[in-house]
Amino acid sequence: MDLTSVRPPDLAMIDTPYRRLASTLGGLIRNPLSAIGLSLVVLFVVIAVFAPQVAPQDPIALDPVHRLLPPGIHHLFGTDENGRDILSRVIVGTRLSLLGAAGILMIGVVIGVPIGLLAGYAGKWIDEILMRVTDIFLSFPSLVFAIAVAATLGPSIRNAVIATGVVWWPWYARLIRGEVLKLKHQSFVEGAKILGAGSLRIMFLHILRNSLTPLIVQVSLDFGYAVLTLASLSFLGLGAQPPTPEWGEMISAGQSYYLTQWWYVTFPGLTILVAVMAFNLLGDGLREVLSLGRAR
Amino acid sequence: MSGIQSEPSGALLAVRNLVVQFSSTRGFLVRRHVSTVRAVDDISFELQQGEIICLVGESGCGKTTTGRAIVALERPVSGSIVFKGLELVGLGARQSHRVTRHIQMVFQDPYSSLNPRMTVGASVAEPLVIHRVGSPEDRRQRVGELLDAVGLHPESSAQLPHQFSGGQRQRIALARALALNPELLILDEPTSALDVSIQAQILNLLADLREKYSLTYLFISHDLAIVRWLGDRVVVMYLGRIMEVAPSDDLFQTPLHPYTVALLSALPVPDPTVEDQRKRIVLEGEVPSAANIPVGCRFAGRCWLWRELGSPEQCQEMEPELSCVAKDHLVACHYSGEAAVRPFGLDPSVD
Repeated sequence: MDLTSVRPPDLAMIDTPYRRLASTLGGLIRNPLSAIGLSLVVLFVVIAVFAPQVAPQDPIALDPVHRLLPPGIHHLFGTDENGRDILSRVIVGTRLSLLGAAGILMIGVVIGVPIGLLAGYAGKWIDEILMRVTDIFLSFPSLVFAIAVAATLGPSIRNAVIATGVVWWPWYARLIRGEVLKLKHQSFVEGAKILGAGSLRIMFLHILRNSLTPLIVQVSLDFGYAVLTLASLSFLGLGAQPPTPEWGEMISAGQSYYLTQWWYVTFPGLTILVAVMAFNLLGDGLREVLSLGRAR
Repeated sequence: MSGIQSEPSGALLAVRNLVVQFSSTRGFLVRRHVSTVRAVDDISFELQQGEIICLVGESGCGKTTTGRAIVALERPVSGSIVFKGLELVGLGARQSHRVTRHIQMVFQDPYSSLNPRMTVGASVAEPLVIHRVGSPEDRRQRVGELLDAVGLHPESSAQLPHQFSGGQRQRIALARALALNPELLILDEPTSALDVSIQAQILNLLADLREKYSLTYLFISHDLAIVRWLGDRVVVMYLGRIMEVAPSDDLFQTPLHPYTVALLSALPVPDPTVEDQRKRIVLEGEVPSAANIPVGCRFAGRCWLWRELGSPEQCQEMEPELSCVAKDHLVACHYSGEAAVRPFGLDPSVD
């Protein structure tokens, strides 16, 4: 028997990156909770993309005749004090909320990931300095910082996103730094060094690529919090300004009516609840599926 | 190639007076020195073209650190490493790349030596990509050849490492190490994480590959049976120092250092009658910490011969030099002659 030859691989069993993605999706669907999370997230994204087409009525045009109507056939979520359809406003607000949250996370990832990579990989005094700066940013309460930014730059959704993103990145920097420290003494990283690979190649191709799983999980979990933070800022009047339809801003406007016209604050509030929950379920499901795939 | 030229010795690789130490420091901005560990303490040896030299010793004796220093994963404190006449210590990163493509390393743990997110083909092709060798089509062909050479099917290149067993992964790691046609392979216990049957396959493969590509191996191991089978020459290390260097046959027949004698006494003998009578030397005590190396001979505290000889003071006062006692046989012991006449720790007069 020839001991040095190995039988050919079973073609059906071959695992390629493409099949990995398919198996991740399959794993998400098999778990009922993450399946709910995934479908809700997909639903929110579809609504956000097609908001103007989906919304039954104009979200901004005033219609004082039909003000503060309770939920009914014509207005499923009722109307507000200016007679605008709350359902349409919620639908159109989806786009702003998701885009804003995505913006916050993007700023966080774009700043945080390179800082974490560099700190972890370079080590020594570069690590010390970067991580102390990170600690400083981490010590800012994000809402207070956003209030300060809104006070100086003026309240707008864009400023709210920037202010939140700027205090959000330290979490990603820490996460990635931890992963780098775990990976940088693995044999395959050292092997790449021996081969003469440059630092950028090692950092991105060997280290970052293997840190993506925890990053993706964290981002999907954080998406819900980003939606919530943005709504809070708008509620405080620091984000979206009336008459822009935005979930937090709608609750803010509905405050004075919540005792008599319950639907005004309830439906935007429920939407926020469902959105945050959907992203959390998806994040949890992803964590489970991806860590299982890792342990194999 | 430029660089500091050393005297031509004909050796492929010459390590001289190599010292590697690890300092641990504490504190931010003002760093306080806590302790220094001398992992490799002034060792010298040479590798001839085409030979297999085995570096043996207990865990923590500095054998792996020596290998890592040669491929510039550790920065030596002093000493020199000369590869084909070119000094490697203190080379700039750019030049070091040009040299290191001729020296590659295979690691101990096959489960961490491949990037789990890279397909086998991408892993094996990576050295070619880094050194800009060939077109993508050439590379694909070369990957196929390499996988074939290590006994894997070229179709495996689309797969991810987690689908392979330890032995198969070690084959992939070998293919990757061979991609740039290196002259010297540093094998850091490449089989110690594998089953015995798979170990044999990998060792056979290593022997075949050496023939095929005329490679030189620096084989780091603690498994004396493998060393006896594979090695041309053996370097025995203890606590960062070389204790004995000898051709493999010499070393296993007439070990001259009491430490080597003790190591060999732990090897089982295939003959049952001999095996029954075999006396084993059990070394007492722990290996001293490399942060606090004893004065004199660093092995003296655990040396059976030293105790038998009535604890001569010389051993605790003077560190024995590695000196030539027979042809190609170097030993660092004041009483190496005594070890030879008391095979396996038995005084013939006692029996």
